[in-house]
Amino acid sequence: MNIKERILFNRLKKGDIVAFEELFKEFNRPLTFFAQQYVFDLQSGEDIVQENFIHFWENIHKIEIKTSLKAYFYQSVRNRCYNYLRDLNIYDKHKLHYVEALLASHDPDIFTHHELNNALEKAISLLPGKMSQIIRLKYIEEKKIMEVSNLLNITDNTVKTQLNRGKVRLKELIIKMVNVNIF
Amino acid sequence: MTKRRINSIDYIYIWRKLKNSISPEEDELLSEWLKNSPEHMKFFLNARDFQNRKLIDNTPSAWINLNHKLKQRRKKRILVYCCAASFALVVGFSFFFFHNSVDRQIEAKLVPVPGIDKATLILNDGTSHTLDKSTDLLLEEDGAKIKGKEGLLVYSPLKKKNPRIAYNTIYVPRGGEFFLILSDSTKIWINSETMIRYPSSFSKNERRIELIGEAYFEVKKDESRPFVVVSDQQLIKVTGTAFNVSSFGHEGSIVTTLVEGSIQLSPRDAVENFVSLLPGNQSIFDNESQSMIIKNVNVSLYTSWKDGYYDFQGETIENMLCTLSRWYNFNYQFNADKVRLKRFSGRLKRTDSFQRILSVIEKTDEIKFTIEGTQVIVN
Repeated sequence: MNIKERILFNRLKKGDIVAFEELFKEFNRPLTFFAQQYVFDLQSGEDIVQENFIHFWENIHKIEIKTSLKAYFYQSVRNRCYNYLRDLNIYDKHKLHYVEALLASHDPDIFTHHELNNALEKAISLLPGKMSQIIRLKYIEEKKIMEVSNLLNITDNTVKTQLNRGKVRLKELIIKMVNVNIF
Repeated sequence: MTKRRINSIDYIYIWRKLKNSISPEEDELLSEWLKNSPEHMKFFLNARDFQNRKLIDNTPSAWINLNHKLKQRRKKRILVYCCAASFALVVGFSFFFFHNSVDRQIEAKLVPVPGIDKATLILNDGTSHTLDKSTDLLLEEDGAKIKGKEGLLVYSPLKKKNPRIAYNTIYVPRGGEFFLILSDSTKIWINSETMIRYPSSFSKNERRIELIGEAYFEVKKDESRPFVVVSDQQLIKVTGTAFNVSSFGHEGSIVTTLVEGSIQLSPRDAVENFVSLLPGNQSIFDNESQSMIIKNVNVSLYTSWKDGYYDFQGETIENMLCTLSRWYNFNYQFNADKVRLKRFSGRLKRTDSFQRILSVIEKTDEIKFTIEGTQVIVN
């Protein structure tokens, strides 16, 4: 956690409801979107995220966070979605569904806060040189778009286009890889 | 033949099904899994439709909702502590009484019995209701009033301008049947192990529903709004008529039997290539090749189930047991393969006990059944 998050987390530990509201308003939307993509159900996705926030708030004194608040929330929501699917007797051996939900998410930062599974890592390395470099800088090294464009001496728009194309290519690659693994 | 129970499934099967890249074996496993529970079916349909759905931005009211929930939980928790002690006492007593009756219930369940009126209704928002003889349900959903009573579910349209289209799903399990009246007054008799998805009120230009399993339709005449039944790769278009659709038949085929009026039948994705059926016609549509065979049949053989009978004419014992097993909810297996093709004719009453049905069949041919719980062995 960076200093900003640390301060927020300390306020949360003290039971500061205003801090909780700030946190909720920042994360609720992207998390709900992610969960809905995962369980294919608007209401269930919303419920999962709400329950997750409630659990967090009621157990705040017990919670230790080593990574970041965002990583913690994505991970716990993902686990809840995973349980939801397990109760429906669906498993996701190849993480296909997980990766799909990840890629469908409108929040591009989502990449940074997940342990990239092997498929995703491998897919990034299979992208063309420049594209792979941009995806890496943005999503793995967590650079801002402006930083990437300065570093590579290209325009912001080029970075954005490459990122969008990169995401589409990644999805295709992952899907291909998943198919190869099984046949 | 024993039925496999597929308990869980890899998401990749669902994914491949939606991308049309599923192998026949996988497809079979997937449809087994889908039949296992209406929840499975709901997930599958949601997965299919999700791409086109607009995600609702819940941000403005979300914090208020959460706050409300937190407060309620605090109140509840205090209540729970108070109740816990007294509850423990009650449980101790009732366990003693329950213990006996539960045993009896399990015992009763082990023998195949004729089906009864039962179904599960899943509303657009995902809430589900169990429907049976004792249900008394009154709901309102966008554009329609829903009334459920005594094995019957009725939709009546509410006068509302531009209602949102809300999809409902009804699932009738093995050993069940149900009667449904849609908002346009179309009547549907739903047989066991069948799922129907339909809007609670229809749009202005079309009445479209989806069917998996078997149902008998009496479609209300409305020339301006064709009634469309989609099952797997087949599409049926009618304006007002009576017909039976069964997708249980021989592997991967859909059997449509027309009783009166006329219907247009086509592959789902090629509506222009339709064939018109006449009363007495039966089509057997092959999902894979999307081709069909049309023949003339005695329609009552295929529709008598809705009137409480099974009429069989020269039917193989295997097909017969397949039909009966859905209604009486049993599994079966053959000790010798040559018995499978023995043929049988006759009328069976759906309300008859399982033992009686079997003894009637035993009388007609050199077939003997052994019953072990819900397993029937054909000798």
